[in-house]
Amino acid sequence: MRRVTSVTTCATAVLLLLGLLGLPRPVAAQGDLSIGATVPITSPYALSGRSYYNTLQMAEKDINAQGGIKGRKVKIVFEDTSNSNTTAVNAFKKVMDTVKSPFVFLNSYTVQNLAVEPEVARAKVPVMYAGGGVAVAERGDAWMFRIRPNDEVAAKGAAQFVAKSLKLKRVGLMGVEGDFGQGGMKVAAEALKQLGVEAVGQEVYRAADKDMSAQLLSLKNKGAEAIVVFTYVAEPPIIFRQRRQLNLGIPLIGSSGSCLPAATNVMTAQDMEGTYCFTDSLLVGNPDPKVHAWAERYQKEFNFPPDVYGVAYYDGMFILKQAIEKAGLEPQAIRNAIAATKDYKGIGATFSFDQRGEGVHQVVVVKPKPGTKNYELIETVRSAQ
Amino acid sequence: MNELVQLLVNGVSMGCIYGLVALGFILIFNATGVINFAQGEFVMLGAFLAVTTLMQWGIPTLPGLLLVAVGMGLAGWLFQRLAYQPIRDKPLLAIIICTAMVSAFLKSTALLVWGPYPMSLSSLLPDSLIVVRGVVLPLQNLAIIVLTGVLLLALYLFFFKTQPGLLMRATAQDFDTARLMGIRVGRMVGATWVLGALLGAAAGLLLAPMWNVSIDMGGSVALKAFAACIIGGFGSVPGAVVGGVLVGLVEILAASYLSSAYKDAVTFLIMIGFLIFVPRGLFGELVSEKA
Amino acid sequence: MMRLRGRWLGALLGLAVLAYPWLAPSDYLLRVGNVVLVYAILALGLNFTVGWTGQVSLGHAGFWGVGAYTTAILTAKLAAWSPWGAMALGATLAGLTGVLLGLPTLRIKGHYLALATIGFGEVVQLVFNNWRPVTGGADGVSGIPVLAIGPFAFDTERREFYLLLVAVALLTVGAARIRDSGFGRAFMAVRDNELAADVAGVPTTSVKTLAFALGAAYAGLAGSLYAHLLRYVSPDVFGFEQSLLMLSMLVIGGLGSLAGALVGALVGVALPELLRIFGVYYMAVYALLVILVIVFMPTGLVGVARRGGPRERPPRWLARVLPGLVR
Repeated sequence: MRRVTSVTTCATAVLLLLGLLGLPRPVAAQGDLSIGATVPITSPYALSGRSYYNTLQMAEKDINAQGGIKGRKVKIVFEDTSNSNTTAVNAFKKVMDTVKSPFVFLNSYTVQNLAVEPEVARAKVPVMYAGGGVAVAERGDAWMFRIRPNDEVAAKGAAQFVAKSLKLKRVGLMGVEGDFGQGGMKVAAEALKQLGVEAVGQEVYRAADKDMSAQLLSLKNKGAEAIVVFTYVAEPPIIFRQRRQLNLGIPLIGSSGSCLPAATNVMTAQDMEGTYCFTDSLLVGNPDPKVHAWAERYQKEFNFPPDVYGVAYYDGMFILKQAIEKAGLEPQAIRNAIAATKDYKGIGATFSFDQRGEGVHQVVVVKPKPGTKNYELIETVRSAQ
Repeated sequence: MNELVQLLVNGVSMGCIYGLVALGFILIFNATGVINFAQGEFVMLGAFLAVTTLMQWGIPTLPGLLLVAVGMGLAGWLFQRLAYQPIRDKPLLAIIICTAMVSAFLKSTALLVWGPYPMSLSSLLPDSLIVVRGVVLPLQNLAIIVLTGVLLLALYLFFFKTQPGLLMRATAQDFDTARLMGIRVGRMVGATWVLGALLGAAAGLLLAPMWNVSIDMGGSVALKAFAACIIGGFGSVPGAVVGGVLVGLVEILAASYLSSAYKDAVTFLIMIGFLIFVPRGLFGELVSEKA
Repeated sequence: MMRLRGRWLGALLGLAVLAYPWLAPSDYLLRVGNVVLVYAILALGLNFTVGWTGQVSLGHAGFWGVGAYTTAILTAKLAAWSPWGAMALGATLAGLTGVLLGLPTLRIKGHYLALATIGFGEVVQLVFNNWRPVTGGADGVSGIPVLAIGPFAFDTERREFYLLLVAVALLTVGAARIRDSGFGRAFMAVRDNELAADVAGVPTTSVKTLAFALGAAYAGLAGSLYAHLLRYVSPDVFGFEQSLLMLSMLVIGGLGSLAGALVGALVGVALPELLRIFGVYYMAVYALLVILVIVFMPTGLVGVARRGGPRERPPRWLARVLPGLVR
């Protein structure tokens, strides 16, 4: 009897799968303008994904409140990319199939952006992405637009700040294993050298490491007057705290991951004292009332401060709106309109797309006000075009 | 020299955490033969439960920790009742994959309940530094070492000086004979899983104040714990702890004197080396061939 | 009567598979099908090692990566080799890596072997991640060309589907032949009772090494095919999580059976995609479903694995539908 059950179940399952896979999907209401977005909703990648999952919905609401795009209501259709390349590509393909969107938002993970790129080229629709790796732009895919400063712009910006504003002569570099951390250190070291600053060492650590004291001590012992760190989100709390515990006494300049609310949320003001951060823009605490109001609104609705990833997608959505209103719904036309966008002042950054699809060419340096976790703007570093 | 001492203390304290995870893992293995791929998630779950009781609900420390212990004990018991007992006489591989699926389930559920952002658990361990002859030692690391020692002592007393502990040891040593002697082996297995869950949670509570609580905090710790079990001697209880401490030390020394990127490779290569040349590990009994 | 019904159903299933691109004409569904076929090859390979020879291998994704990276480096980074040549080399290199892992099995068994394979997989992934000049590091290798025979390029999902289908069919038949040969018997002898096999004169270490090598070669092949499908490889694909996924496919499908490997691959890939409708909850639902399958059907959906005792005979019904696959 059990055998029959298992076989029947097996057969039913297989047939169910085949059947359900072929089912037509529910479509958006007639007249709605559907835009696809492949976002990490599950898996640890949701750490970044949650932010733009929220802001895209915020943008959708705001645009519809203003009457939509060309009179049509906007509907953003999300598909989960999880933390797998295969799944990210499947998500993109699913969105293209079910929604026939003239545009898709990709996520903020360089590796997944690279994985989806061949399909973007095939599908011939414009996309916006927020992964930082230069390798994505180097693919030369004219359909892809980056809505954040890439890792090289960020690394060079940090080097410039350290050399010209902090006026230091010997700097230590630390980075998470991988192209972002190690690549960033390489670019920074090169830029520092050109500015007459010596990079005394390049220490690598693994993203899952729980102890970076060895690297911190090593750099200090080599004579570093400050340490520039290229991190993701989970490590800054550890690195900042260990710097204080080891009594390093030298400033830390962290990459944007270190001032994301997800990181500062689990840090103390004590740990953040004497640190800087180079990132896309300042949101909470920005002197511009428009930015401040937007940040407050996000905080109120989602019970968590907004971050630079989220605002990039919010701005991206409005750039898309402008492009569609100017050029219509044909993908090539939208693509050209986005490419022609210059000096668009968003809530976060200012966007000007170049021939490689790079949209942001500056970083800002922020520093927490002494004794608090609130950042204030120190300087804007523009990259040489 | 100071630096070396600092590194050693850091290494030993991290090693204690690996040792605790390894210990819970070995207890479950000894009693059931199962490689529990969800052991790391016990670490994560314990830490998250503590965040909820101590930080979100604001319950004072001692009753809060008790609540966490009860919760984790329940989780351990439920795990073996629902995902082990029904299939305990089925292919070992099915059971092992089942634990891996429980791990995935716990991680996805944690994401749904607590969200994707890391959380802090600051109230448990002291945050300050002490300086001894120029060596800067975080009090937290020393506390971890001391607390681990206390836990191990308590476990030793439990296993060797109490009746229930004796029964559990008997069950782990020889399941069938224990059953023949009238020991309620089902209960013993259940109790072992509970203990495994509690040990995982303890590691999570020690890990959390320094390293924050996140969905993936258990994964890498568990992998190191496996290596620790091999090095210490698979199946040996003191071996698990000693192995853990050794892994912690090797890691931090390799990171400082070799390359941080390859320090994990060093740990795994040492583990593979042990497997090939010294499979019984440091404390294990001679590996007998089961026909 | 049963015989006829079985034959009809088998034919229907076969037709459904062949006609899949017309039953499911969306690009997305075809891609899912293609991924299923790649994992089917991985599952078939792992079946040699785990299903038939009883060696727990949790580093299978490492072999997958060796094949994928060989193809990626030779056809994209260096752009020097023909994809087919690279594929052959990839499978060979993967097979050799399998030998490397299989040889120490003289001394390592059971859970020790399982942990050793985990360590192996981790080291391989570390190499992919860190050997930047050769593997491109964490950013991986882009621009892998599509497969082509002369002017005919496999550049649509549908063409890929048939290519992969042929590959899976050939590899399945090959596996069945191996199973029915002396090699297959040797594998299973080692699984069932290694000591007895040894005493009976079976060269157990060679057999186990061969099992690893064969499984690895299959995985290497799957790696090349995967590289040409995605046209991009990166290290994070080839990790422990994936090795676990492959093993779970075998368990879900049914350890030791070829049909089980295929069904397991189908469920492992298609089910999560199907569950996307659950939004945020879908991973939890997927894990729960798999746990339920394992708890209620621990010998797999196809139901032929066994442990220790006498073999469960496959249901006659299924044996007629998929003759030769369910054993």
